Amino acid sequence: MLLKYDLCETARYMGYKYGEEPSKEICELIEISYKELCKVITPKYIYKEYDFTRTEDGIVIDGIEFKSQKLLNHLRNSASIILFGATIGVGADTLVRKYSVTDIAMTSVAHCVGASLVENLCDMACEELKNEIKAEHRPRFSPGYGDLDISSQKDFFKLLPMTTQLGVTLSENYMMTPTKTVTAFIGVIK
Amino acid sequence: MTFKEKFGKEILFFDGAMGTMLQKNGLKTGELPENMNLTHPDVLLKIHREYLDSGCNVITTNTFGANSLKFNNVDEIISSAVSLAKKSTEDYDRDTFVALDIGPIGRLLEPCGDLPFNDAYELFKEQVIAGEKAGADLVLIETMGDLYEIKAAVLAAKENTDLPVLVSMIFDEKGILLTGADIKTAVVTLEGLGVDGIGMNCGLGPDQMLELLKEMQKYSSTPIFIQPNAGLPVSVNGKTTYNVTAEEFARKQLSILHNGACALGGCCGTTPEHIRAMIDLCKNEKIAEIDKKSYTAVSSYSKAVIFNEKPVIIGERINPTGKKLLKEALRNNDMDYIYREGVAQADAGADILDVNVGLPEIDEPTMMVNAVKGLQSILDTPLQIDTSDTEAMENALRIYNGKPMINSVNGKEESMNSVFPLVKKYGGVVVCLTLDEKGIPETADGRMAIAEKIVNRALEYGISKNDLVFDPLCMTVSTNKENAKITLECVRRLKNDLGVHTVLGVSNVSFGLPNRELLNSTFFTLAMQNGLSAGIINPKSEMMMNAYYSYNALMGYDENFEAYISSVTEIKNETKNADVDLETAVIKGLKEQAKQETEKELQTKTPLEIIDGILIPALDKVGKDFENNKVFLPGLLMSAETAGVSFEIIKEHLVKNGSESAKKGRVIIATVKGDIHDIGKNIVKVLLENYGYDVIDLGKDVTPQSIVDKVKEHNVKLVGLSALMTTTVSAMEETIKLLKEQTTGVAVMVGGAVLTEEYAEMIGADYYGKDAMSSVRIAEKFFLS
Repeated sequence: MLLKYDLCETARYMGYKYGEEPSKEICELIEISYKELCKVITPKYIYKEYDFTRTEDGIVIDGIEFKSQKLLNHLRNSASIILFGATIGVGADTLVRKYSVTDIAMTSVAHCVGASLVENLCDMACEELKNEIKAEHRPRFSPGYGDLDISSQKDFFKLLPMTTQLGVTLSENYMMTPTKTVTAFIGVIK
Repeated sequence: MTFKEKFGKEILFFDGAMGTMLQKNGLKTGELPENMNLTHPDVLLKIHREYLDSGCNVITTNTFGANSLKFNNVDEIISSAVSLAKKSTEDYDRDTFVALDIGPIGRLLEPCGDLPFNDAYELFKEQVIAGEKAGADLVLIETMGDLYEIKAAVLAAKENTDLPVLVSMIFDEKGILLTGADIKTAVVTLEGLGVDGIGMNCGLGPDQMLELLKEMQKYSSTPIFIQPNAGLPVSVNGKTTYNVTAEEFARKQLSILHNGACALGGCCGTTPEHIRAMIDLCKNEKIAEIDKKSYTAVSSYSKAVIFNEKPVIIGERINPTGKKLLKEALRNNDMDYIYREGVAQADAGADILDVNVGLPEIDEPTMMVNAVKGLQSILDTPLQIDTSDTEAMENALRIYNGKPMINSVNGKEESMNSVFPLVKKYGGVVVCLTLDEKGIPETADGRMAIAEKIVNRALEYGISKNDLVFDPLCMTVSTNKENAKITLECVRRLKNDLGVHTVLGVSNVSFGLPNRELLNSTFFTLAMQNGLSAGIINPKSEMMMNAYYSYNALMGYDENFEAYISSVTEIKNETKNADVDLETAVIKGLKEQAKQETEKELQTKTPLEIIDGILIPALDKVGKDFENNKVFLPGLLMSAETAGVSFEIIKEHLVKNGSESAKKGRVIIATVKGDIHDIGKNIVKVLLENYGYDVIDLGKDVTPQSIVDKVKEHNVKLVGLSALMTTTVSAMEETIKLLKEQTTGVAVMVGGAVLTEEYAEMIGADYYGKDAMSSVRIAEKFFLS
């Protein structure tokens, strides 16, 4: 799977305003770190479709409750729900760590390019997913977004085999490693 | 008969999936399967008996995730699980064994994750002790994707029980583990640790595993066991299923048996029917005898280096002998200097890095552990642990992620008695010096005699010749013109007569003579021609590497002359940019020019004039542009990085002239407990250092108390704390509270994605840093007042 970075998004992660183009020198750094990242990343994703029920202030999947008004609104047209996880692997973290002692500018650049790559992976995966489930779906909604508390990651991990199939683990403070990883709820419109 | 007596000698059958069976018997999503041992013992008995009825010899306990991160009654769960398994075997009139099942902890170890190696060890220790006490016959460490976690589990099992230890890993289709090791690396590392069986399970079906098994066979002298899934998972309407039928599974496992496996079982999706069909088809088969492979190899967490005809380069630069800057870095605990030296050597072509951090005035065991941990967190180059301090050696071997080189043992009884047990326990390839109580023999015969003694003593410890690499020692030709010849003769005879690999610290040969590199590189070529397996050299030396690339090109070890050609063209490609002054170089982030211009400026200006007159004003200009949104973070950091190059040259200049650079003030920075994102903190560090502050970096995930302790120890008045998530800001608050309680006059600046001015005030911080530059502004303000 060849992932690509989005220059506009990458620049935005770096602090540029939307549509503002980085200088030639910075674009070179972006290109170098992209090439280095491509050598070490291992993109993977999984998903699992569930039925869900609505409650007053959230949803319930297989007996597990997720409290969030925003998520509930987000799923208003959805018939079922997909739990989705994607990661570009531990290699990206190792590379960023290496840069942090050899070249701090590259650290920040690789960090932003990595973020753009995992987004690209999610986009590509969701395109494929659309074909596989033969239905339209809503945009991704991640734990920690809006009023869905980040601690919901723990329950999310119970429903999707993030650790055994993607090698993603969760720290006590609900941080995921590898860091360039995305989890999301996706509403399926049928 | 015991398990160990049977395993690898006759075919054994393991059971199939546990999780699949538990789900069929009522386990709900999100429930911890291990609780079923207590709540539904009857279900467990039933599952075990179904597998035993299918003909299994080995059944696996329902203890995959039974560690104290998930349970507060580990002992109870494990002893009930083992008892149930044992009870279920009672009715069978054949040899059956209970395997204590141990899966991954579920939290990734440092450096990829946040779980310390020793914590992982303690978790596993609790499990294996409970398992042995309850009567398990073997420890089965399975579905492992990280070599480091495996090492923690294997050490725990071997140090705390007498049970055989089997390790099974989960590979992807390309044969790569989660943390990057290929099959060769995994086998090298596991054999180093002395496991009793090596296997694969989960993730793949039998077809994919057959291919990987062939690769495993090339390197393994240890019995191999294979437990595939019932095919690759297929998603049907969002539900995961496995398609390989029992008959198909049996046929494929037979083929796996014919390709060298000595035990078979199943993983996800396999049922008692799969196992029964497999056993019916395979039970009368004989297993092939395991052929012992003979090769010498070391490994890192993801890469193995095998010694063969093409010489191996061992980078010698991380060794303080004769290196003023490294000595200073070690005294100041400037670990980044050591790491950069490591990266530079790896980039220059080193296959292995020697790590020697011994200085009389520092705590070598601690420094060695820190250096090894740091280097292996950023580099996949295997390391050579170089120390004469046994404690430093053992501590480093323990936390090393892979199978290391060890430097060194020699023919003295005391040396062999202290080093060989460590080599045997942790695994490693040890450098053997041909000297003994009487010193270094002058003749080749004398050195060969010591070498033979070392080989024999190693064998007594159970260490094979493959794990010994001999250094026949090279004395300078300036004291005896025969010295080089004697060493070369030893290299030849060690290879031809004793059949061992050789290594040399090449540069001793020229001691006391001018233009040493010329002699060193020529001697290196001669030594390689005489069969030298590895040279401990400076890979950043062009002449040494030229000798190496030329030798490989001429001897046919360089496919298509790729390494040779790229070594020559790299030099030609060095571009020369138009002349710019130092200030412009820093502003534009042009490192090469900054280097040249700094050297030029040093001829006419004092270091202070350059720093205060050029570098700081240049950084300030970029800093202001950053604050005004004209330059963005990467631009700011490129300038900082370029100024760093210039500072490094100025520092070298100062050290050479015996003076020290003045520092403006000392700052401690850390990412708080629970937080593993440290990019922001690292950026702040570089910027503060650029502005002349002495920064003590405590790293990430640092407890409040250790921050306070360091503040007291170094009498620091300004502390910078970083936190990325709302969940870790509480640790920040706690740290500030503790600092205010236990110290006086200490100011705290805080920063991180979720913080705001008000939030910072609320948790009691003195300063809020909204971005990287503001930490510099805060420090300026603080140390001025």
